[in-house]
Amino acid sequence: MSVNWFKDLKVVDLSQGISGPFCAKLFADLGATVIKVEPPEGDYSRTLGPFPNDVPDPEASGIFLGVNTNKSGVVLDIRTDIGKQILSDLVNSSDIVVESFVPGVLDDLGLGFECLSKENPGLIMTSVSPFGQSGPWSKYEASNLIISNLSGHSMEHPGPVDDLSEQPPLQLGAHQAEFLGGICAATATSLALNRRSVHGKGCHVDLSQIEALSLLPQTPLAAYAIGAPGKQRSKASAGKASLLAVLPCKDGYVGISPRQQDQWERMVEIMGSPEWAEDEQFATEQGRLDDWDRLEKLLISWTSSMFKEDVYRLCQATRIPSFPLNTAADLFDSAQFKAREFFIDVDHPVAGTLKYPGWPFHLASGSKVSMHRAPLLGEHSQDFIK
Amino acid sequence: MSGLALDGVRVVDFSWQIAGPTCTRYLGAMGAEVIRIESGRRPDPYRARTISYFINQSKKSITLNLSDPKGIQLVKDLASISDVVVENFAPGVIERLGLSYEEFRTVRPEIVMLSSAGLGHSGPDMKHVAYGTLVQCFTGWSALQGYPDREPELVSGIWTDPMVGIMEVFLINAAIHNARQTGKGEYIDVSMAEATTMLLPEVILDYGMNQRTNGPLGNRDDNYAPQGNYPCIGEDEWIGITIKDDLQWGSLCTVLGCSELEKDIRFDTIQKRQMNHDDLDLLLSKSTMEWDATDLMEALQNKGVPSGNTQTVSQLNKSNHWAYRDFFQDYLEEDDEHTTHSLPVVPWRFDGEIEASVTGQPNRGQHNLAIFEDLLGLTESEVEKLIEQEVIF
Repeated sequence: MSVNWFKDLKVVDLSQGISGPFCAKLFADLGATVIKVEPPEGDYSRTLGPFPNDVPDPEASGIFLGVNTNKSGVVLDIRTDIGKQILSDLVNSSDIVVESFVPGVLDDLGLGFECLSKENPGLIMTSVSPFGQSGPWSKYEASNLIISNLSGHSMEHPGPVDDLSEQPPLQLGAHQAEFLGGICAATATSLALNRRSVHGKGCHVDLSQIEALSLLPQTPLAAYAIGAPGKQRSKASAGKASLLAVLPCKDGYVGISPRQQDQWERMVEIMGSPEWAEDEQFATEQGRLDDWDRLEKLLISWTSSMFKEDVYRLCQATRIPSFPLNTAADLFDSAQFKAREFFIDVDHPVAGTLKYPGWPFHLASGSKVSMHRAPLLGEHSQDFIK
Repeated sequence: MSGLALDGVRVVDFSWQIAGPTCTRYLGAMGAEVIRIESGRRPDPYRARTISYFINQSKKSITLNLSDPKGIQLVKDLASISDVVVENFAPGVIERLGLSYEEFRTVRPEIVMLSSAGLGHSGPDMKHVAYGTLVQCFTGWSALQGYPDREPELVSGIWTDPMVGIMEVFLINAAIHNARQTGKGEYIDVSMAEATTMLLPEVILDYGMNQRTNGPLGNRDDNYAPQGNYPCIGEDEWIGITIKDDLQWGSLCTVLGCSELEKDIRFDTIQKRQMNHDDLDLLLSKSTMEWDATDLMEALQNKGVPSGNTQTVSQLNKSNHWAYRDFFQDYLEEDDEHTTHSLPVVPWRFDGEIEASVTGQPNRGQHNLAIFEDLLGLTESEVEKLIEQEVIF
């Protein structure tokens, strides 16, 4: 059986890029009927890589394919009168609209929440934008980097830096700031659904990607709330809170965290009880953290002669927290991911058959998420536009 | 509108450490009655840390000894009038306590139970000891964060725990929706490693398409150029700039007063700017260094250039924009009625309003009387006896 928690729902996805489409995908994957409405030129994410063999093709963008699974696709120019009419009709028979226009654009087209919900009072419209629907910056533009900066994430999750002026604060890699916006938009929409079932009304959901990411640095937020704001960016080893390190191996890197005393003692044993480990300085966790730069080099003298998988397996065999720094290739080979059938093969006429990330759960009912490829541009226009 | 989205939803919360409490914090803020079951025998080490002020907000706390059958019975009594169970013990623990999904389903057929663990609750490696930051390694997420020319390090802090916590709020709401439509509950076994990897389709598909292994890009982007954080006046002050097209490129040059850059043939297409990014960064930095970061953001945004300076949490609360949106909400801590604290509660609004409530983290066992007497109907003397017997403990 396929997971069909949302099988009663119809969703119109007007959004483009990553956050909005990922939000709508989460509904599509769990059983909702999702109709992706693209302008004639297509969702702009169709122009974003990666592409097979690095050849741009609007039907083979890795980002587009990844965040638009299980949707039907129609092309509609909602700037024309006929386009507006068709969209209104689609929305009238729908539960949810997801959109990511600059705030105000849909209102100007006569397709804002107020208009659309007149005919359909149960409608939930989820608007995803960088700065939110209101406020002096609402029409400002952003990117994954700008979201990372303005949310506080770049500064509040500081990495180890040797030189403040040479190493600027960092954005979240792999567009994670935008993916988080998608998760939060879907969460908000699912809350609005349950709000509707209790209180009987639809609503306009306003999700700012910056606000979403600003809730992730939880320790700095808590510290701020109680009047003890955290330290500024600095060399991380000076302020290391617990022993946690990524160390080089023969074939990559391994993360280890023997933070408790018993874990450290077992760590010393699996390293073959080297002489340096008898140093008084390393007898307590505080001592180990205080002299981290020296300790790191000593640990590396052991890990660098090992394969990352071997360090990881040796550590876990004695319950020392450790994981290798895996590549995508490693993940495809992971016995754990294979056993849980995490990756799902999805066929596509242009991009070919590729492994996609699946869903992070197993259910007692045994239902699984079925994964069907993203739509070609306008592929289902005939089915939904009469 | 009066009332909250999750009014009437009761949650039995065994969660501890970070991810689970993050999830139930949001459920509580959205109106669910979250009853956190704590243990004097196995205290949650994170309750003593600063983060607890955030992740344990908006919930109630009771204390129960789960190695005593009477404690287990009280949990079942509570579950029989609840809608959701959340737990993130190591795999196998909740079953050993006699509190598996089967047990809960017997007393409450439509209950939704979510269990999360580093690698999930099946598979050959499910028992591996996993901290969120190490799960970030396992999934390859850590390899994508950082400076391109440096060794990988755990540079981007804690990601998996809070992210998974929010994803769990979605899963629980989806399952509640289904339970309301069909009358059927569900057990959701969540793998934090898989949840983290789910957000990396770009990287996974790139490997499938091109057998390419992605590394960190620093502040750059494959699709836009230039993109980066550039120095401004003051220590550790930076302006982030993203140029998505030639129009924005022209506007950037105008605002910075570098018309010579706009004419420079090394930079006149996005491909060339990508190719000559290092040279361009040096030239741009010379100009941005003359600017105050906030002023430059305003000047650039007014010309349609995506930009934003790096901010700290306290700067967020001083910004006009977030103040206009009432993003930070005031609340009180349990033991201090005189000091107002301020934090963002939820990142979403319904019809323009933050429909959420926030209370400070509860003291351990603070709601024992309210739950055992008022909700479960035990008498005062029964509760006293259970305290004496160290069942309520």
